[in-house]
Amino acid sequence: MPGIPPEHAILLAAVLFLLGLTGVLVRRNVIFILMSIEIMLNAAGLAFIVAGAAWGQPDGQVMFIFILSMAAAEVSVGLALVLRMYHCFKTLDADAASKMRG
Amino acid sequence: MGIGNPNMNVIFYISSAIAVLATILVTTRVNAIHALLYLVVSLLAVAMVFFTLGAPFAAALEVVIYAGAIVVLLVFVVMMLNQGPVSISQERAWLRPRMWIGPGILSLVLLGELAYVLVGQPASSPVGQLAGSPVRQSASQPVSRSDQSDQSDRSDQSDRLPVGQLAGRPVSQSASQPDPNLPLLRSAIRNPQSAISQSPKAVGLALFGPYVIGVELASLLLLAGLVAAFHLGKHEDTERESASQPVGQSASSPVGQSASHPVGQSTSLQPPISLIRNPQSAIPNLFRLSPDSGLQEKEKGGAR
Repeated sequence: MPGIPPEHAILLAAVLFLLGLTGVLVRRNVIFILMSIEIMLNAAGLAFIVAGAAWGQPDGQVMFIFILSMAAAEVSVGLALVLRMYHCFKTLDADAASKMRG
Repeated sequence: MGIGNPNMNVIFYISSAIAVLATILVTTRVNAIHALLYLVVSLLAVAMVFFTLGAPFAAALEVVIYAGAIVVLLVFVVMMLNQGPVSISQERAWLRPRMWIGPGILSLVLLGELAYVLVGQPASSPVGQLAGSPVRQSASQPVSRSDQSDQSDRSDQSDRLPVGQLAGRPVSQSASQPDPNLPLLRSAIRNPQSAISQSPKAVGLALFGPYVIGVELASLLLLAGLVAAFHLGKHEDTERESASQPVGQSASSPVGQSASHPVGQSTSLQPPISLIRNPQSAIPNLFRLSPDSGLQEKEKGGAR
């Protein structure tokens, strides 16, 4: 990490994570919620990369690869759920699926 | 503080600003395709940040997998569902500006606190030591583009630190004499291999060396995701053919179908177009059948 303070990079990761969390909390479209979750996972990976670069160890990038594979699995299952929900409710509103009548 | 190495620092800050701006635009767009375009911009900016942080392999993975595969999946689903003006008006109703004044101000106060803690902290705390020190360690890497002016520029920042005289030393001295106040960093500073440890070779060696159980777990996770996506994404018409009728008659008809439809057997021949007309009728059917098993959900599609 030549010349870049790690505080600033961690701050960037925190800002991105907060933006993703805001998106998850405020949007009602399931597609936007999935995108915000991707942003949050990406910010977590950025924090790992910053830590790995700060200590000069490859472990940060290894954890980033794990986060990447987890994000890929998550988005595939999430999009399958989105398709299922659209076939059931004919909408992507997250509030339409809020009636859990077990 | 970014004067010493202008190129990498300027690139880092510009790409950080682009990433933050694009992410803000992602969370405020009402059209899904516009938001996805901004998401691509945000991911590319983060990949640029990875590159400036000295992780080119992670930057390539970010571009290929995040901005390539995942966003293409999202675009595919958005194009297939073909939302339209209904969703736009719905999201616009949620994004009125006056609703966001109060939470926005509070979040900005929290963000200012976090920025003060991370950047403007007096360096006597352990956070300042931990955060300020790896810069000098990474500056001692031969692959870094830092020059002597960078070192002198960084010393005035870290003179506030208790270990500040470490920064003013030449690179070789600080590499040979690690400060005992930094036990976490000592091995990395002492080890000359740490200079090349950010390379893809080192990442691969670490990935398939001590982290090989993590690779196995990731493969299991991907397999589970594949099976779950295949099961959840199957269309109902194919399920109706594949689902055997007596099982659906015995299991799903008395539980779920009796409420909304009086005769369970005859409703199995109805097309799912009834759900289009009345989407509320699908809600009790789904959630009455869902706690049983995954097989029940398949039978629901058959019984419908």
